[in-house]
Amino acid sequence: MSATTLRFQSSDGVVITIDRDVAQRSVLIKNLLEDLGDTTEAIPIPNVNEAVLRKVIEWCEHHKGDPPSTGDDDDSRRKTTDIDEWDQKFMQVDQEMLFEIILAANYLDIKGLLDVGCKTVANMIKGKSPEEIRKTFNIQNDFTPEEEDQIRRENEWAEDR
Amino acid sequence: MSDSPDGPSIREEGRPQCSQDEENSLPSHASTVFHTPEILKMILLDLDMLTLLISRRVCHTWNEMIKSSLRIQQALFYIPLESKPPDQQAMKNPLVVDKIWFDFLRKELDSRFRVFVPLCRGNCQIPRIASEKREKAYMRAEAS
Repeated sequence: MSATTLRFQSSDGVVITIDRDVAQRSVLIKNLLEDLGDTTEAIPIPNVNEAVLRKVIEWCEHHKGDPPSTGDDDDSRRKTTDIDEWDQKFMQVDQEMLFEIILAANYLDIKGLLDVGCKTVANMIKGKSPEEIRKTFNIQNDFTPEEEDQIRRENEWAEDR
Repeated sequence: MSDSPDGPSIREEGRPQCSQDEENSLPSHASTVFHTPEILKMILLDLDMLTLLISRRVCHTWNEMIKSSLRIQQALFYIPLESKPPDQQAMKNPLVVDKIWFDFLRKELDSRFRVFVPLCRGNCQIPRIASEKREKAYMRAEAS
């Protein structure tokens, strides 16, 4: 009989106790537990600090009843960036935290959370010019004016009007 | 929150973001996300076509991803889908319909002088066509 709670240690050394079924929303942890068997020791999560780990756990707890994702790729042409209300509120964090959550979800392999994070970023990109996008995310423009102009001309048919 | 026994924090919060590129500091989390190809691809696949085209001009990394990802190229209608779900109808490129199709039809096809407007069997979406012969072909009952 396996324990119902597990202990995890964040990158900044804080030990957090989590329900086993909540923790198993993470495919990384699920696989780890299968290999590891029962453990009472705190499992280190070296890439995720306490604040981020607590956010991730909050998401997993809220979504613990969700059906596991099928892993099916949805149609690349029919996409929706609708985010459910709870998730929208959950994602109302500063930008650094948003990107930290995305990295943690990617590392821990929590597809649902990664999806919501990516959609949130996509919604921040929509309606902006390239310059505004760069400014929002502090991305350096590494195009020469000629290169940028070339792409602009290729897309002129769609961008203008 | 409990105290954490670590040394100085790696992140220095509250400093202006723009200094990140000039100084040789750790990349921001945003930069790490955008330099992780799988995540960048997921984000870009969540964009509509117009934003996707505009996003090519953000930086080389984004442009290369948009140009080289099969799924993104499919999303942009540059490459056909290998198979469409059986329960779904084929989909017209919405940007072409939006930006080109109607204007093209109006300018190119609706230039013929006519005395009366023939009934379009209730379908007002069909423009009047410059050549009478072509219009007849277009309007015949068995036309697709």
